[in-house]
Amino acid sequence: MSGLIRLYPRAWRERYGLEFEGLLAERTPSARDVVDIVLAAVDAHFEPQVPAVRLPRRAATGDRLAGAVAMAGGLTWCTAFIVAAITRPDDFGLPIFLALGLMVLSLPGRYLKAFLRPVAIAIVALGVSLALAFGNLLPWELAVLVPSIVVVGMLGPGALALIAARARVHRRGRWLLVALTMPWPIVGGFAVAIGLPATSAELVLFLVLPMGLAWIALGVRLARGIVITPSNPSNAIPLGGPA
Amino acid sequence: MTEPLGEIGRFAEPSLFILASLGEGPKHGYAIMTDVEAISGQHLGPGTLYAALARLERRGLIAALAPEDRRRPYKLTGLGETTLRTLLEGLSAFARTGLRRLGDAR
Repeated sequence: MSGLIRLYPRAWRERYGLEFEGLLAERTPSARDVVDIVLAAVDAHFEPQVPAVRLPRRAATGDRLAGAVAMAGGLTWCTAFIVAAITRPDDFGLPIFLALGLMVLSLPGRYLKAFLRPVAIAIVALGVSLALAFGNLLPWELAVLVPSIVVVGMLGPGALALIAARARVHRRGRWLLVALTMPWPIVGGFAVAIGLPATSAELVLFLVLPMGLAWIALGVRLARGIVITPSNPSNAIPLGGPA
Repeated sequence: MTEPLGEIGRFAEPSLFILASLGEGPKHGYAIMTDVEAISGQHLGPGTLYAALARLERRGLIAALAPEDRRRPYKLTGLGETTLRTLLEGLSAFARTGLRRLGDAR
């Protein structure tokens, strides 16, 4: 009979569930009572008397700082490509690496313990890309192409997924975010590396901006603090520590 | 007659019974159910009981006390006591008027 409690909304169960179970244990419900409970459960869904518990969590200092750095990374990323699309400079690698550096800087925190594998991949990718970019280990064309693929293709999705995890985005949301934003910068990286005509700069811009905007949005979410509800499965993600 | 509980809708009558039951002192759900059945002669289903309790609690007419195992007693608040008194006085005046009219008719 206590299974009848499952008919009620979660917030109601959390408030009254235990005592309601106790009541049903004290007096076995008759058929009439079962109908009464079902109708009351329906009523509780349509006219909830117990508001869903929403605990606004003020962002910890570490999260606020990380959010600000993530926003700065996203803004730098977007600005660099917009300025490049307008001015067509010969080389705008520095602001891009600055943006990526800021993004990486926003990641550290205790929550990373739950994501050891992507963290390891990201660290390796970062090391490889930096070595290739600054060590003149490859011919110039490859030195641009390979780090572009490595940084954006491996570090990018990993870092985006991690900052999304830090911002308590649910697992499905993290995958969706990566799928919607990350393939395009890789395409853009190829386009730049193989020297597509200058007219394609606007196209490249549209390809890379979603990733920057995603970082800005996640940075804002992280800095503002996340509203935690009992029904929010992202609660399971460990809280971030100091950045 | 149960105007102060009007916004509680179809749970107004069970709510009045619950308030009247708690007028005697704090009670938990099962005690309220049995008491309401004793004083009103009406069956109070568990679903209706908790739908009414939730509404009364949300409106500040009753307050939950610390739970005792799986039982949680409820008590009337000051507002609940005032509301109950108003309701019962209204009902009493209504009953007196009705009875007087019955007497007049004879």
